[in-house]
Amino acid sequence: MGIPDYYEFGCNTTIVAGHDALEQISGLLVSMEAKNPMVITDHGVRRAKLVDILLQALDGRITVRTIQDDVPPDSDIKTVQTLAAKYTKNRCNAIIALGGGSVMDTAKGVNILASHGSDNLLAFAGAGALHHTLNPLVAVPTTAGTGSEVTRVAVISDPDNDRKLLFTSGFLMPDAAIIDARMTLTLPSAITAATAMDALSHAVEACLCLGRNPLSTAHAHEAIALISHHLLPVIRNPGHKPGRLALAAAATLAGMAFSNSMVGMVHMLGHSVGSVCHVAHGTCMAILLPYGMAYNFHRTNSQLADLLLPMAGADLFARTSPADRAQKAVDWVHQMNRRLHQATAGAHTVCLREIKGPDGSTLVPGHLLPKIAHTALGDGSIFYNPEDLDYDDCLMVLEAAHGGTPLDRSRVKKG
Amino acid sequence: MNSAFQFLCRTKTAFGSHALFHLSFDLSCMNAHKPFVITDQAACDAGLDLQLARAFQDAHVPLGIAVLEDTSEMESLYRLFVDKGYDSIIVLGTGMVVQTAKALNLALCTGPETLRSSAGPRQINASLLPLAVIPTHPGSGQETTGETTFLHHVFASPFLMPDLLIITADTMLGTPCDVVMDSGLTSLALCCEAFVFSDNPFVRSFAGPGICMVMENLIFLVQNPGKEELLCQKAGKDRRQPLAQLAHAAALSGFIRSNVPDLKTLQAGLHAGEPGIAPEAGLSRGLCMVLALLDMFENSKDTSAWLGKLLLPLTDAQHYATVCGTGQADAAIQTIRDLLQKLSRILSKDFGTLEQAGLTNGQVLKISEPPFLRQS
Amino acid sequence: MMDFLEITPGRQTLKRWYLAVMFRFFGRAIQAAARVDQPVTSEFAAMPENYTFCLGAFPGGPYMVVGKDENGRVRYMGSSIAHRTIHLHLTFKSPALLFLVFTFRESTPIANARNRLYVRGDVAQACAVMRVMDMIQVFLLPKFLAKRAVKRYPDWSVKRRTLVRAQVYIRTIAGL
Ligand SMILES: [Fe+2]
Repeated sequence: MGIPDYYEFGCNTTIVAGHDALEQISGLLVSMEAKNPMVITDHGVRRAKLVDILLQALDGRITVRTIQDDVPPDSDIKTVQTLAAKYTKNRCNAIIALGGGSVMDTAKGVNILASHGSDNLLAFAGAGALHHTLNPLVAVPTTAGTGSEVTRVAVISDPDNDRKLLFTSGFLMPDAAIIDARMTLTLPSAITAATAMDALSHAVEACLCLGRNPLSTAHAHEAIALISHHLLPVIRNPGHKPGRLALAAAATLAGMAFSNSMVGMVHMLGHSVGSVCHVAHGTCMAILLPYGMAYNFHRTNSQLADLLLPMAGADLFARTSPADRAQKAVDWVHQMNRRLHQATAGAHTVCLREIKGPDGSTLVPGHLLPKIAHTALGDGSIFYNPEDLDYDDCLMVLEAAHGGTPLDRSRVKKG
Repeated sequence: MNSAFQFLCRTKTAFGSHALFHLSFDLSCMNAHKPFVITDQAACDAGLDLQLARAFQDAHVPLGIAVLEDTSEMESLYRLFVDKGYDSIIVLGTGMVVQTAKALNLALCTGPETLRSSAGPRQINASLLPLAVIPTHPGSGQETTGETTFLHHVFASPFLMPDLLIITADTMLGTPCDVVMDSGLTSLALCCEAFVFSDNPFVRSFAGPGICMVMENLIFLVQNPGKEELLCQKAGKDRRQPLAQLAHAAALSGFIRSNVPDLKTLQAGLHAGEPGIAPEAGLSRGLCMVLALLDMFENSKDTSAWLGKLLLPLTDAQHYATVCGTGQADAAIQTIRDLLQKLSRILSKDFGTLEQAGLTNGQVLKISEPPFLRQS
Repeated sequence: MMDFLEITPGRQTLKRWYLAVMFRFFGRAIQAAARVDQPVTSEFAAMPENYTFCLGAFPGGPYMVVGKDENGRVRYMGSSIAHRTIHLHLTFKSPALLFLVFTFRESTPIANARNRLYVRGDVAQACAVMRVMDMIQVFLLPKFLAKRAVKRYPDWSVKRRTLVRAQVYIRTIAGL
């Protein structure tokens, strides 16, 4: 077990997981003296009737003051301000965030404003700008992926100034995260695959990046083993509750891992593909993950080799010679992508070139790669990546991921 | 996997070199600008109080430092804290000082009469004052639990968990061999039991590293015992680093205690604590716990899926993967037995059995009954 | 009986003095490199007008302020953050942690990964500032030290390694 000179680990969110974990939400809210919550969610969640499940789970002790369901796919400052005003107007004293990453980020932003009685979100941007506990926030994730229910960050975009605001504080961690298998039962298989690969990328990057430590690694390995065991079976049998619960728990474990050791180039490039070409986050992660592993290969050989055990199991690990394990781990991710591609009848893409929009158009045309590479240089995840990347390096990795060809490791500059 | 499970660890752990220098910033993030330090004589003799003060240089943070002798001083601690207007607590020490600090924190938020009430355990639902704990030697894990015992009353709430835990070799004091062994075996027993029987991936993620830290450092520390008078400044760095890791393992076992109900090894440890039982047989609490653990494992060898996987944190990936599936449970048990044997050889001491320690046959049976059998 | 004492910790004079000297040197080197080295110039060119950033330590410094003046020229603006609009703060959680980095015992990326510093301001600009600082370290430090300070020691052209570096050095010392 490699122990770094210094590390931090913490996650002060109460995690309640189970097939019917939502039944405990009233008790949790009562114990936090938060009987008048606002529900923040989005249209997709509402359409999937998950709000109904939530409302049924709430008992007479709780009065939902208002349900707000128009959170956009990318949380922005205006939405946050509008919702915060509604929070105050309806005299709410807590938030239930029911949704994916954007809903969570929005809810965190609303909580900052509502708890401070302010309407100026900018005043709280950056690290360490919060000094008090905020009002109660209960997160109910509906995609098994982002892990935002246990992270201390919120990303909220400021479209007027064309930038993304980053909020970091221990106080942004939700007070409770409720991992209920019912929330993900109806996710379409392609989204299940992409979000699980997002969680996998969190786990893998947590093991490789500069902030890695024994605790984040243990959480990450646990998450990887769960995903490896349950992802393909759940894709084949979407209504399998234990499998759904395992994937949801894996996403939360991976969230705890990466919020403590951070993510690197896979997210750095993935965020940029997402913002330039409007591709779903999980889709980018699935494609870029093996490339990030290959790029950092020479810096993280032993960490990669360790990943093979939770990924492929003891038998294959024992059969592979120690020198080949790292490469096998990279191959395993490629292989997982191909299997998901088959299991979802091609909906899960394995290279950037093949990502299609709803109208069948190519979302990531080759001529945008330079723009993506340029945007990537402004992403904060670069700080945590084991190996440095300049513009040419980004472009090289993007080109390989675009065509779906393995990364030529001899072209990686090692300094 | 279980169909339902929970987890909460309110504490942020900072481990390693220069960890003390993060403290003034982290406290200021919690709006704490005037900390009250509770410590003991041993820490002061080693100059740790001044070392802590050095970490606050340039921060213009005044420190009030109380050097504690026993728990009866709650009254004066409370008065000092309130009169001088402190806003947070730093504990520099392990054991009694931590318990006192938690109780003080409780008294400060719910009124001093709370501690005197004989109402038994009470529920605390509100945040207490910021509490940072800096251990000076490996403890029993109690330092990170959401529990404190004061004047025989037990108070429990997740809010009693420290907000910050700072474990650094810089504050480790030379620790007597028996304290080291007791701490290591206690952490090992708790982490192993939770790893195998909790069926909770969040618990396992804390238990696994705890087990590794004990397995990698305990033998070394027992082989190279520190003398009590050999305090931190003089003890070699190579000895303090393993001590810090063992303290880390103890902290992890504390988180586990707060999250896994009815740990059987903990009950076994309590039996050892009963007067007249274990000490005569030379059985420390930690040893009793590991012996109970082994009994429990023998009884559930064929039924527990996770016992075999315990081999991974107990040894390493290579060893775990090469032992074939069915042999893993036996190998895991054997690894723990080997550890005890090594310790017994180093100390040239026979460890004996639970029966020899004075536990009745019935008590042993009750302890070694695997938890999942009780449930079904 | 319980002992009680109150301590008001003092200042680390020697370390602060060392950091002040390093900052002055480093700040002037950024100013110099922004004049003579094309990659550094273009990083600054992409920053907004009057852009000012500050490297320092919590809670009371020392600080190093660098920014573009009204003519767009990059200048080392001294060690005071008072009466200035600062767009980006890179702040170490304690002067001792800053000292670790400036005595080359820990690289900036590692210090960052260990949560020893925090960034307040736009992340994209922070990335640019970090790239500039990496380049300055490669200019100023002998290779064995620079290798410890940056993630990957770059493969620069002979001209940049010799001619441009010499210019940076001369200008730094002369304060141009
Ligand atoms: Fe992600």
